[in-house]
Amino acid sequence: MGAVQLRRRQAGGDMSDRGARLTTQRDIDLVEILDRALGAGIVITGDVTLSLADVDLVYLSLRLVVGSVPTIRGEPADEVHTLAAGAVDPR
Amino acid sequence: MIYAYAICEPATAAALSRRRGLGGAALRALQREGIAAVYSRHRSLQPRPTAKLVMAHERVVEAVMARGAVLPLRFGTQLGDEDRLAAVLAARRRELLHALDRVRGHVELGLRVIREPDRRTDGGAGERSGRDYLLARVGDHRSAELAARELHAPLAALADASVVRDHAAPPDILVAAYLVDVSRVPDFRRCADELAARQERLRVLVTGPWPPYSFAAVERR
Repeated sequence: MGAVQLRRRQAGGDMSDRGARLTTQRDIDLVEILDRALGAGIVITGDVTLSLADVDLVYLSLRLVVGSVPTIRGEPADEVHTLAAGAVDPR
Repeated sequence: MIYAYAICEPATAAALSRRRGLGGAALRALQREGIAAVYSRHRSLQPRPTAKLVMAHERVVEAVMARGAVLPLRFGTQLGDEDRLAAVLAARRRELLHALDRVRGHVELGLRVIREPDRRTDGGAGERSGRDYLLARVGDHRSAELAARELHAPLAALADASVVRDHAAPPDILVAAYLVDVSRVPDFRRCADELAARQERLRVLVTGPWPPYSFAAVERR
C-alpha cells in the first residue's frame, strides 16, 4: 500500500464532506503537534514550566482520543489504517 | 511575565501585530540586532499543555512560518520580562542567526511507520502469552530495522537534515522528521509513496509541512 499523505491546510474545503476523516486527521495533527511543541523546539530558558507529569497526562488523554477513533481512511483507497500516539521524549 | 513563541527575523515579527496568542493576548515583537522574538505579556500564566493551549502556541508559530524563517520555541517558554528575553537574544545571537539560515526555505515533514496489527497475536480472545508478547517485540525490532533501511534512509537522502526519534512506542515502529527544501516537498512525498507501496507489513504516514521544531535547536559553542 502507498503512504497515507496528510496535506495540511491545502486539503481544507474538499474534506468537509468527510466528517469522520476530518476528525481523525485533526487527531493526527494533534499528535504530531504535541510531539513537536512539547518534545522539540528550542529551549532558551530554564523556565519551561512543564513537569513530566503534565506531559504524561496529555499523552495519556491523547492516546485515549486517538484510540477511540480506531480507523483512518486512506487516500484514495478504502484501506483501514490504525494509529496510536507515539511517546513523547520529554527532554 | 512574558510567554515566548518563536524566534524569527525582525521584518517577519513586525507583520504579526494583529494576531493573538495564548489566552487571546496580543502578540508583540522584540528585536535586537537583526534577530527577533514573538511573545505576549501575561499577568499570570500557567501554560499547562492542554490541547487548546498547545494549538494556540502552534498557530502563532505557523503564522510566523507563513511569513518567513522561524525557529519554534518549546511550548511553555516563559521569561520574567522583556529584558530577560533581550538578554537571551543578545547572548545567543550568532547561533540563532545560523539556525535561521539553516531552516530558511525549508519545512519539516514527519514520517510515522506503524506495525500492521497481527491477527494471530493482537485482538482475538485478547489472550496473549508472554511468548507471544516477546515474539511481537522481536518482530517490532526487526520491523524498525527494515523501516530504517527501506524507508528512512532513502527519504533522508532527499532531506537536508533528518532525525529519528529515540523512543517509538508500539505500534509505532519508527518516527522520524526531515528538513526538506520547499521545492522538494512533492518529490519527497512521491518517493515516500513509492517506498510505502513496497511494504506489506508496515503502514506509512507522512505528515506536514510543519514548522521546523525538530531542527531549530542549535549546537551551543
